[in-house]
Amino acid sequence: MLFNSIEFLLFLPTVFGLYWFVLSSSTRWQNLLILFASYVFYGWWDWRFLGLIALSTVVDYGVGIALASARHTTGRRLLLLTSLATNLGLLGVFKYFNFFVDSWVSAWGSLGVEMHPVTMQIILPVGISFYTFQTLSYTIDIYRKRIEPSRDLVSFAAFVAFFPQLVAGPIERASNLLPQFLRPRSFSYADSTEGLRQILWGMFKKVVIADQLAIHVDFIFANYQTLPGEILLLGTVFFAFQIYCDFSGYSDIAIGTARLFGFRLMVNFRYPYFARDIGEFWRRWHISLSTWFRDYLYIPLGGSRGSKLLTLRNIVAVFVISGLWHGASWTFIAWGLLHAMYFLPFILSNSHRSYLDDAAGGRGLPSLRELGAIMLTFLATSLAWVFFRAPSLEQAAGYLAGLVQNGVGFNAGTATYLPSLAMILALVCVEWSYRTREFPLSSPNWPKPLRMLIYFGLFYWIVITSKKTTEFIYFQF
Amino acid sequence: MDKTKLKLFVRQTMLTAIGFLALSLLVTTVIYSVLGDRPLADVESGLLTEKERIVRADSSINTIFVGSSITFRQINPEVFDTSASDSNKYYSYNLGNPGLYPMRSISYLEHLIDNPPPNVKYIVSELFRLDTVAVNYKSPEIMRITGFGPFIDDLQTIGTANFPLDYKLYLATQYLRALAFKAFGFGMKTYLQYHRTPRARDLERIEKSLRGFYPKDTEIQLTSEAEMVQKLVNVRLELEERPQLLEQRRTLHIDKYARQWLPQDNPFVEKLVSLIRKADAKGIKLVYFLPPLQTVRGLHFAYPIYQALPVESRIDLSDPRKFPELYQTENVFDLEHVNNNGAVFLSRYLADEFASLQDKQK
Repeated sequence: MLFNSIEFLLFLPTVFGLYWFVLSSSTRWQNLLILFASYVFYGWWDWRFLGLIALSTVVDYGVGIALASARHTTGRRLLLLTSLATNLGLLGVFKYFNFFVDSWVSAWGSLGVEMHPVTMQIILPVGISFYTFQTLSYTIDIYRKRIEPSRDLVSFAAFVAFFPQLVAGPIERASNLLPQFLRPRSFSYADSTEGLRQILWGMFKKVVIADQLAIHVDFIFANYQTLPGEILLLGTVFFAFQIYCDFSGYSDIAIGTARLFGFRLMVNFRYPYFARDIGEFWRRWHISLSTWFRDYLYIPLGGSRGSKLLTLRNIVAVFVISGLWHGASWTFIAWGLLHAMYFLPFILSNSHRSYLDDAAGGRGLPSLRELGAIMLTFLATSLAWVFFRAPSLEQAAGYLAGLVQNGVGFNAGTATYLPSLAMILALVCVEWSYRTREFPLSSPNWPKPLRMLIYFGLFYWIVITSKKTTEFIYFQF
Repeated sequence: MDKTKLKLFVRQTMLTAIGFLALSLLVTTVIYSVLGDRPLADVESGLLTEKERIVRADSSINTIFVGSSITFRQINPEVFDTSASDSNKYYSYNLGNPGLYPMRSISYLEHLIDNPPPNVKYIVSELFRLDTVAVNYKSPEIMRITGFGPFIDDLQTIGTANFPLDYKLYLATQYLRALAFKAFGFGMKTYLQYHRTPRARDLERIEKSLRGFYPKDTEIQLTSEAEMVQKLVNVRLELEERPQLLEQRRTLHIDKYARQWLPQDNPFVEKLVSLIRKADAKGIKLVYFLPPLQTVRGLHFAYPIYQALPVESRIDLSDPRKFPELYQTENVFDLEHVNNNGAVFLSRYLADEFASLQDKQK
């Protein structure tokens, strides 16, 4: 089921009504309802893959309890390996099997050895990268003795399958979300209205901005060989904002929906395009994933505590695996490598944590130096997005070459992109003005008539812009 | 738990939602009444508008066929012309377009009659089933013909149709959904900005067709799209796997003559009749034909409509006893369309019946 569908418009109030009006006296029944609703939400897409979620849930639930009682290191390691093998095994089979087989065959093929491998017609289960990482963090944290295992299977299963964030995150940590399932929840008027505002803002970003930009992006990337350089540049800017509005829009809807049920999910985006260097970008973009990689891969590998060479290895490993997490394709690996290259100078000079506050502090405008840093970081990330969007490395390289080689050719066609460009500028201005808030509509202090006018304006804009229901980009990961 | 705040939240959320919807309705109504409806050429199918351009550019065309895939796939203009007259009286073109369901079809006929192509003297249009709005309600061509007045007419037509109540309710819901979609402004931006141009598939279909006629078995051989081949093969599977269905359809089309149908006195019939008169006033003869092989629902809608039309403006090609070839496996592509062979029979029969109508009026 998609957030931007009629089905969800009926599903959400139904679950909300049952949750607060019928089952509010029992946390256990509320959790059971969330579990059932989450399975319906996921099964709406393809019920056959519910088995994978159930498998991941049961294995990690069992491993968690066994880990808590295991005394010997070997036994504990074996249990952790069971969890890792199950979750990464699911990912390996459903997401990476064909990619690795094809890459293996190509590698031998380039040496003149012909192979006839077995590949499978595998459908990628929606959200598998998200929920497997979420459950992995649970068992790893128990292994590290940072959290206690859950002994309530219903709560644990609801934590794994929690429908607002099941298919595209945020990837929650058990230490944050699981306790919320175990304690009684009470309805909060303020939180719920804030949740609705966040849903409205997320929907606006998805339907009005991302889906609109997608039309241009699809056209420009399909015709990059014949379009002038400035249009290709626009294409990179458009895709940068398309993916941002699509994914952060989903996160906003997820966080807002969770709020309606009394849950607080982690912030996943903090205005990443206002970052002044690549280190700050990664502290603001897909925070739940970047912190996951930091805590469960980068630091265990040694982080930046060893030699420069080891640090370099760790950074490259994290970014390459992060690229691969996004998709089984060399383009994602290239995207990850490019970000590693951007990041390395900062980490090797120990200046990757230069910017820990918001850009321009409390001032209205950034300094010229800050503006330059923001623009440079945006340009670097936008160019990297070309690898993320292009279907192959050749096409990504062709696109980047076209930026320089295709020349400038302003014509009447260029003007068709101006409304979208203006929309992006308006978004940037709004986000800049409210960059200290979680999202621009958060806790507004405008007079009520103005507030309602703004809400209606956004609502009506969503309505008139809506077309066929479109999937969120991050579902494919 | 104190539910006062919860109830307040629900009440305020519902009131806000209702207020927003009411305001959307108001703003949308104002915008549509200021801007008016889109020109048909901007929003109708690229295949149809491109075919119309060809017809308008060719002054030798005096006969056109209008309808859905039933027309597009089954009426061969060359066979029709040679069969209907031995004196080169007719030179026809097939304006059939997949998915041109009845409400769209009458809107298009009206457009043609209001602005007739230069030398067109005869229009032959099909009577088809009523359900395709269900999947197409967000498309610009459906949005164009959707409105409160047409919705009331459609409801009356559905209400008097020979359908069971549950199917009437289903259809009414589909039409209501299309109306709500337009009334509240859903998709309005796209609709107002929309300007249809023929797709590569449309142009290829026209290029490879015989004066707009393109049977499915020919498309399988000539199309450049592997996906289209697969699609066409898939629709044929049902017939290949269950050949008895063809016999059932044959029986259905024989049995209809013995059955009592609710007489049709509804806005749809009125519209069809008014179009005959309007065309007549412009010197154009408009004739409706009842095609073979229609589904149960299609037949239950189209046959009683056919019965309500003036005898001099209707042709029945659905009788398996009179036109047996149209129900024989070797002449059928799938359960709704004849193949290239079958189209020869169908076009010849249509020409004979059409000529016979002309003779009777002399």
